[in-house]
Amino acid sequence: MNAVTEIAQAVQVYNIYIRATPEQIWDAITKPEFTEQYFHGVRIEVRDGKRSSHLRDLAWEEAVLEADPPRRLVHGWVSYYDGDLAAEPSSRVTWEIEPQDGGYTRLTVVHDELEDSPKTASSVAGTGWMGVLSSLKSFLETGEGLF
Amino acid sequence: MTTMTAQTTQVYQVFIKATPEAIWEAITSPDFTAQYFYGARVEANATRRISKMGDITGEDPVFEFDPPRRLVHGWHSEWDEDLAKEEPSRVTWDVVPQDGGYSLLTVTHDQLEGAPKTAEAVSGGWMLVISGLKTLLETGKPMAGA
Repeated sequence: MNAVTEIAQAVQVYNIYIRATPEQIWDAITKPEFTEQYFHGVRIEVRDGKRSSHLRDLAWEEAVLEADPPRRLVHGWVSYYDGDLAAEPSSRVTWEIEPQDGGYTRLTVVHDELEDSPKTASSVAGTGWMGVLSSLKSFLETGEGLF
Repeated sequence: MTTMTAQTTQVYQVFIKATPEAIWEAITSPDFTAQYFYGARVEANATRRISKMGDITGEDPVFEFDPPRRLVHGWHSEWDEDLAKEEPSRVTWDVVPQDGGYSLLTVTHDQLEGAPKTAEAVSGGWMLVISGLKTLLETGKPMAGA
């Protein structure tokens, strides 16, 4: 049972359906004026091969491994906002954006390469990522994020 | 191994800007469910959960009915002949209020060991259902539509 839990946490998959276009979702995940409204106040900018984050007096950068707007974004992940987590190796986050019939879009987040980052894996798991995705959906559909 | 385990106990979560009472009404009242649950009119009370879709009616036992926090009921996929033959499974809805005016909804679909086709079928469907539920409660309109 523990083994299964660990395997599940090293590759985490989340999805949500949002009444928005792929372009709107792309902008919401790559532009700081949007991310700060739903991503725990973090200003995130994806540009020139980097994903730059600012939270109060903290600033950090991750490599963008793939950027195919408005469908697919792959970047490194380090939880700089927490000392314990920041010491763990970098993991990887993939955003996939797929339009559906009916005027809505499926957003899938895969957080993987977490084998050597157990504290990060546990911190982002479950309500961690689902909180961000729920808040993003609220932001795009109502104009206000949850947190 | 991991995949099999994931499929016999499936957990889906979403945060919704709504009270537990509003969420409870949306999951137990047919006028709400018709707008986000593949068009199914679902009504749940302390003993039974009745689901009507077109001319198909499915009925499952309710095991726990604790408004507005927890609903546990049986599940069998009446709408598909192959799935309907499988053993019944179980669905639990947990609604927990959070600080900040929103609630966490967790749907756990388990006891799927005797229903592999159902497990496969619902794994792509639950997030669509609870995404639609969230949209309906936060905007007053269904998610799908022109």
